Amino acid sequence: MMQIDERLIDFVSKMRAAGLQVSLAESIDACEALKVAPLERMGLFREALRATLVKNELDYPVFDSVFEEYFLGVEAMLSAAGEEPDEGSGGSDSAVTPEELTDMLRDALARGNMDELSTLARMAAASIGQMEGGFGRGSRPMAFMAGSGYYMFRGMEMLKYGRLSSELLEMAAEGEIMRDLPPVLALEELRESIEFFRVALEREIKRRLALERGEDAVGKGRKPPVRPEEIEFMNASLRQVDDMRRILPALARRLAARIARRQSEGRRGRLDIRSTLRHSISSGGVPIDVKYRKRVPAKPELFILCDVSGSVRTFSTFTLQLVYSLHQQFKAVRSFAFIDRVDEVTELFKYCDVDEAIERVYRDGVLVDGDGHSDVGRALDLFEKEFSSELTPRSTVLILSDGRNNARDPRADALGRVARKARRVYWLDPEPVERWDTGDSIIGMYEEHCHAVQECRNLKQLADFVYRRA
Amino acid sequence: MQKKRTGAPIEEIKAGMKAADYLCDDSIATALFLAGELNKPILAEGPAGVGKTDLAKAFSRFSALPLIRLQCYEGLDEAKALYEWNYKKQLLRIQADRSEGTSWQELEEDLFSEEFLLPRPLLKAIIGDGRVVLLVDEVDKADVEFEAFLLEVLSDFQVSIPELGTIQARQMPFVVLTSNRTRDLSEALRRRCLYLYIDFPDSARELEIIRIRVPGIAEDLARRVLAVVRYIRQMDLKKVPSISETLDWATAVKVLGRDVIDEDLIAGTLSLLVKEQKDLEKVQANLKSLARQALE
Repeated sequence: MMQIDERLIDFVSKMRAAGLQVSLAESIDACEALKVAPLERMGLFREALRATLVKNELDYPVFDSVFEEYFLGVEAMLSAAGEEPDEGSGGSDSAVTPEELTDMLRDALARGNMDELSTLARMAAASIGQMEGGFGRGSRPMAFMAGSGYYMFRGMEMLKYGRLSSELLEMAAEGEIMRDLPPVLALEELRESIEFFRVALEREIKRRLALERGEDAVGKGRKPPVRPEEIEFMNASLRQVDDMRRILPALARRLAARIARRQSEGRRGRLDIRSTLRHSISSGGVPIDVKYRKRVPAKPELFILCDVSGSVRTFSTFTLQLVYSLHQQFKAVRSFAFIDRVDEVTELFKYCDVDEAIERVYRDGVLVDGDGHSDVGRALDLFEKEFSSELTPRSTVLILSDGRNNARDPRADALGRVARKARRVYWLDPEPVERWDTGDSIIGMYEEHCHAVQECRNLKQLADFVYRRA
Repeated sequence: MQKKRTGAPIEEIKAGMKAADYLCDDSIATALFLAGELNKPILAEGPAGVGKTDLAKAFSRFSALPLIRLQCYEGLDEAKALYEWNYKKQLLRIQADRSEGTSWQELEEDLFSEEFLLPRPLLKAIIGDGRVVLLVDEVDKADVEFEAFLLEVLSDFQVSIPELGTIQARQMPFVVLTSNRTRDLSEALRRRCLYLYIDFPDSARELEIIRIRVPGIAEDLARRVLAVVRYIRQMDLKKVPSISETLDWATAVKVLGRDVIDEDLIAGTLSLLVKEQKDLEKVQANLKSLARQALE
C-alpha cells in the first residue's frame, strides 16, 4: 500500500502525462492541502486537489478524467477486500429484468431522486455484467480488450436509454410529468438527472472493470480529452467543432483586449505641452505630471482569400469568424472564397452572422467551374486579374489554404504580382509542417512570394498569429 | 493511512457564509478553507456577475475582518496600489519652510516621514494591526507589469520603501483575486494561488440564492422568477442575465407587489435583466412564451 504522498506524486505524473502542467510548487501545495483538508468524502478530496493543482478552468475536463480513472481504480482496490457481495453470484439484483430496470429508471428520472438513480446505476452495471458474462472476461472474443466505452454502449442499448430520455423530455415539455415545476425548470432538472445516471453508470462500470482487471486497466486505450484551442482543424470531429465554436467568442474577446492593450502601451506620442501645463497648476506651476499625446495606430486593409473546399473548410470558417469579431482592428475587411475559381463574398458577411454567411457562400457563391477539387493556382490567377487593381500599399493579403493543388498549374507568378502590389502577403496552412510539400502540396512554390507562411493547426496557433500580425 | 478527518470545517464555512448571505458549494467552501489554512491567495475566475466579488465581501462579514478593496484598471501602477508620497504637501512644506531656515537634513527627514506617505490598498492591508480581507478585483484589467509587481507583494507580504525601509506584514491578509478572463493571467501568478472557478449555479442552488438574498420573497414567486431567467439564458444572447441581474429583477418583482408574472410586468422590467439593445429586441419578440414559463 502506497503512502498518500507517493500516491500524490504518482497522480501528478499521470496528470503531466495527460498534458497538464503541474509545477513542483503546486504538488507541494497539494501535499500540504491534503494534510489539513477533510478527506471524508471523495468530492472534498477532489476539490482540494483541484484547487491546488489545476489553475485554469479549461483544464478541468482533463483533470476530472485523469482523477476518475486514477482514484476510482484505487477506491475499487480498497473496497475489493470485503464488500461487494452482489458480484456475479446471482444476488437479488439478478432477479430484475432489463425491462423492469427501464421502468424503475423511468420513475426515478421523473422524480429526480439522485439516491435512487445511484442504486439503479449499480443494479444496471450488475445486469450488464451478467449479460456479458463478467467485466473483462467471459465468452466474447476480445472481451479482455473491451474498455468501459464498450460496456457503456451495451448498457445504454439494454436500457433503451436514448429513447427513454427523449420520451421523458417530451413529456416534461408538454407538462405531463413533473407538474409541480415550470416547464423550463422541469426540463433542466430532467436533463441533469439523465446526465447524472449516465455518469453514475459509467463510474460504476469503470469501478467494476478496475476490480476485475486491476487498477491500471481503467484508463487503458483512452486518451484524455484535448483542450478545445488545441484541437486540430484538419481532423476535428463534429463534437470538437462544437467545443471550438463555444470557446471562440471568449478567445476573440481576449485577443481584442490584448491587441488594444499593446497599442495603448509603450508607444507614447509627443509631449502634450498644453495638458502638462494645465495639470501643473495644482502643484504650483511645477510640472510633476508630464502628459503625452496618444498615438493612433495605423489600421491595415485586409483581403482574406479562403480556400473553402472540403478539407480546409473548418479552418477557413474559424479564421473568418475570428477576423470578423476583430473587425474594428482593421480599416476594412474584404473576403474572397475559392475552390477552383474565386468570388468576392464580403457583402454576405455584412448582413448576417458568420455561420450563416458561410452557408450562403456555398449556396450563392460562384466558386466551382470544374470537378469541385480546389485549384489554388487558378484561383490566384483569377484573383490577380479581377481584384489586384484594388490592392494598395496599405493592404494586407491573407491566404488560407493547405496549398494542395491537385497536381494543377501552381501559377506562383500570379501570387508574385499580388505580393508586389500589397504591403504584406501571409499564408496560413492548417497542415502540420512535416506534411508540407509532400504529395500534391506545393506550398513551397508560393512561399518565396509571401512575407510569411505559417503553420496554423489549431485555434491557439491562429490566435498567436493574429496577435503578432494585427 | 492518516487519521480520518471529517468534513466539519467545510460545513462550518458553508453555514457561516450562508449567514453572511452567501451560498457556497463544495468547491468554494474548500477553497476558502484551504486559503485560510495554507495562507494562500484565492484566484477566482468565472463569468461576470456570478458573485466573485461578493465572495470576498461575504467572507469579510463571515470572519468579521475588515475588507480592503483594490479595483484594478488599465494603467494602475504602484503609486495607486501601494503608496505614494504626497508631493503637493511636500512642496507646501518646503515653501513654508524657506523663511525659517531649517537645515536640509532636518527637512529631508521630515519630508519622508509617515506624515507625507499616502498608503494605498496594498500597503494598508499590510501595515494594519489586525488581519484583513484584501480583495484585488478584476486583476485581468491591470497591466502585465502590475501583475508581476503584485506577485512580489503577494509572495512575501513585505514592501520596501527606499526612504523608510522594509515594512513586514504583521499578519497575513486573506487575499482574494478576481478575474473575468479578458486576458490570460501569467502562469506565475496562477501557480502562487489557489484556483477557483465559479460558474452559473444549477437551478436548485440559484433558487436558494434568490431566497437568501431577496428575503421575504414568496417561494412560488421565486420559482417563477427563476423559470423566466433560465428561459432567457437559453436564448442565444450576447450577454445572458447573471445572478446579480436575477437578484435585481427578483427584488423588483417583489417590490412591485405582484404575485403573477405576466407579459406587462416582464416588458416593463426587462431592462433589469437584459442589457444589450439587440438582446432586448430578441427577448421582447418572445414575451408570450416567456410569460408562459411563469405560469404553471
